[in-house]
Amino acid sequence: MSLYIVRRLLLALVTLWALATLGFLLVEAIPGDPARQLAGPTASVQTVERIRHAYGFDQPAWDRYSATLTRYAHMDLGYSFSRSEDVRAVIARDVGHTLALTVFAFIGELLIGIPLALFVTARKGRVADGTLMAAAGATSAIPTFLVGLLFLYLFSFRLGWFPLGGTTAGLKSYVLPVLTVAIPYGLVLARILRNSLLEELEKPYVEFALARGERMRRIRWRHILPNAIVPLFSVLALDFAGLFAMVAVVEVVFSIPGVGSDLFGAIRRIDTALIIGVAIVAGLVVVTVNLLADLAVIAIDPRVRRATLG
Amino acid sequence: MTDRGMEAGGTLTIPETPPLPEGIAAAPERGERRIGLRVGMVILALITLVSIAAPLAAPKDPNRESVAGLGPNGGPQGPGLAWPLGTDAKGRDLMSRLIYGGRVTFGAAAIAIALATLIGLTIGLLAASSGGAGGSVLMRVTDIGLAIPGLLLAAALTSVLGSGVTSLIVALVAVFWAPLARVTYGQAVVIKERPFVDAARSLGAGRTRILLEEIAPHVLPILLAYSALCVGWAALFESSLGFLGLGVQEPTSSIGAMLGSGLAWYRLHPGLIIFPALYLGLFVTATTLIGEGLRKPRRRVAAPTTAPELELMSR
Repeated sequence: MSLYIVRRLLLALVTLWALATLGFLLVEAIPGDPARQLAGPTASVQTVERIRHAYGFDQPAWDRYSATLTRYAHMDLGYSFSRSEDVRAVIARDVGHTLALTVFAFIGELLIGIPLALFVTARKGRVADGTLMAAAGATSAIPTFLVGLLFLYLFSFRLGWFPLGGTTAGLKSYVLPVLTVAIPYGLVLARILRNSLLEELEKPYVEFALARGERMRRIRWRHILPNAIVPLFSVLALDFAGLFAMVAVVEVVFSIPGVGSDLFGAIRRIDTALIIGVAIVAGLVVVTVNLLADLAVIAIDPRVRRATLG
Repeated sequence: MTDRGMEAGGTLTIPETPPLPEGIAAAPERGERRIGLRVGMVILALITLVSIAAPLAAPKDPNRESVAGLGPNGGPQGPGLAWPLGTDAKGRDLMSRLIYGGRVTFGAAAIAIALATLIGLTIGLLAASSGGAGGSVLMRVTDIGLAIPGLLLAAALTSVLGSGVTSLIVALVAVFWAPLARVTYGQAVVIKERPFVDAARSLGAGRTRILLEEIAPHVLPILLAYSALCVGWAALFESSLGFLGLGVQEPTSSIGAMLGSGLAWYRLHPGLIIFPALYLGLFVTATTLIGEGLRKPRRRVAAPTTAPELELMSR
């Protein structure tokens, strides 16, 4: 077990290193003089030279690369010129909104997806089943941010039930962004879960439980659901990554000051330090969640425990 | 059964359920599948036709700004006789921009997924056939690719590589090669254990030959089904990027760019959002129908791997 965890932690570190390296290479690939960009078009040649030296742009690429990695290792993500602050300060202030949205959306996804899947599995081939499949298909055929836009138009602009954006209205301002992500994700989760539930339903242990005199309802919750959902754990973890990215976009729609808004603001200003900082934090979240999900599966499912730990 | 779960201690693999014995109910939804597949093909054929024949199909020059196209308040016009779907904020014909924009978005998505499929196929097959250290390194790299949130990666890439169709395609390839490599690998390691591979080996077939003539033909159908699904998702990615002001830039039209620039007007002229969204939705529905149709096996040659992680990418 501990060996497995050590391996996984190493893999997580490699992932973060790969992200940092990718970021470094991307910055290298940007055409133009970074010192001139920082200084602005009206700065004198001397100022540009000073900045070039101060930021180490005059050093060889390899030295800058190792210096960058050392900085990251010390949790120093650099300076965001578009915000005139440390990247770490920007992210520390804003990541709470994004994480809260992601976690709420994830819970919402499960609350929508699991009961819906159980509900339609009992009615395979009937109207409710067909409706779910169609709805899941339809929501995955339009971009999620448009769902957000639709909600914003309908519930905020027309009906005035929710604020038009921002976070000033407290919890109320989270409702629409969370629903925007949770409903499409929940519908698709319901569809995936429905298929694996139906697969499980064919397995012999269901028949055995019925023969033993257990009620179908109990079999659904106690036997079929755990068997169908545990293999989906690592999938749900990957989903969390997608959710995080989607929340980043939805933040822009609802003007919520999370790291998503930071990222897309930074992209417009080509503030590379902030872009890479957000990417690394996103990678950190994803890697952590994947690791936790895999550990949870090992803890829950003895078959996987045997296969993974030998 | 292989001991894949143990190799290199990377990601977890749930133990495979053994494939169904021959002759047990395989494709109950055969009729349904055919209908979905056909409908998808027809829609896709129509969209392709319109896109290829864009200069003929578009009523006007998509980039021509005109005062006549502006409404009395200087804003866009609603649909009318002169402008079938109305105009945008610069007085350009919305329908023409939609046809040309679809060409850019769908074309870029198709090219990017074709490239990503080639890369994914190569990496997945190499990883499955070499086993050992080389193979597991390849799959770890793929895992890293899967762990990076695709939309953020694509956004960062398009911002750094600059605007334009080429950088859009590069960004899409960077996102989609990893899941396609994963599908290839998952399918190939199952096929590798099948008796006919042993048979070929005992007949003296070399590794390359087994890979190309025995394994690859069984991997391709499933992989292509996922590729079809990915084309639709790539188009969705483009629309998100365009909405954020990344990717293709003015005056070139793309679905994403249209959605992004229509945002300012959506309360007064919802058509600026609705029409591109509908066209995109039609395209994605077509690719989904085709992908789903292809994924259900015609003959049960190989036990199909379900890859729900891919399905989750669809948003």
